[in-house]
Amino acid sequence: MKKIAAVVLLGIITWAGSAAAQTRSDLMYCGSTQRTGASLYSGLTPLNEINSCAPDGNTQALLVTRSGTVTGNGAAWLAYLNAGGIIITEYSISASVYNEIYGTSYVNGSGQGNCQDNTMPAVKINPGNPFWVANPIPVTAPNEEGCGFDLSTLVSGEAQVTALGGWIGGAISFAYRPTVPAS
Amino acid sequence: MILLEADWQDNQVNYTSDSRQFMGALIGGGLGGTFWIHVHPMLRPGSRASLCGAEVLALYSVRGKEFTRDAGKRAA
Repeated sequence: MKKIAAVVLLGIITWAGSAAAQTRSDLMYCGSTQRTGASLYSGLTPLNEINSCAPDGNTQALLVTRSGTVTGNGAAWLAYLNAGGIIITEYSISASVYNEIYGTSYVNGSGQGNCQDNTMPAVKINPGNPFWVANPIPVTAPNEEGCGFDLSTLVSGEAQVTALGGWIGGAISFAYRPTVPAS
Repeated sequence: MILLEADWQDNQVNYTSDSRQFMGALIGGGLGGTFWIHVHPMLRPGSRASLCGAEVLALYSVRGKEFTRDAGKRAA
């Protein structure tokens, strides 16, 4: 019986792993964007795209662009994260969004990159991280890097933040802070 | 929360298929967020299981013979 249970469980976990993808219907943009839909992402069932800064239970991810309204949204955004939401930032606004949610006061680091829009970093940091293992995406060529501001100070100051990518010169462009599931 | 310093909203032509794939992975929950998980009755409420290196805390209900999910949350 135990062997049967183990086989069933393995099968379930294997299947569930392939299904660990988007579950909600909406993709929300807080701030203007000229890039949407298939021009922005691939590999997912297309999402309904909404312009708002107030995510709800249908919001798969909230994308905050450089022109997004940040002030006053920290509590609601933290609640959204704690309810399983995903927040992704864009050029120049990462520190502001982080500060608003977590009550810190980081400022932007030095400007980096070539402003070719690409989100995939030119350098993988912590290449053994489960994200990179599960997503072995080729790095961006140095002359096609996106641009933004170095996150190194924020990363070094926040023990819960892990760097995963950067520019060719060594600065950090991509990092994350996991949300601990509510029990 | 995902901190991403890149000018992706500009919509220039050099945005690569790799970047589209990368954004799909992030939006899809590759670094956390809620996802649906189908469970089996042999999994008890509060069970923990290893899933692609991430830890899953599955909270679920069983509806008749359809062993569907409730919410699962992942801390990558």
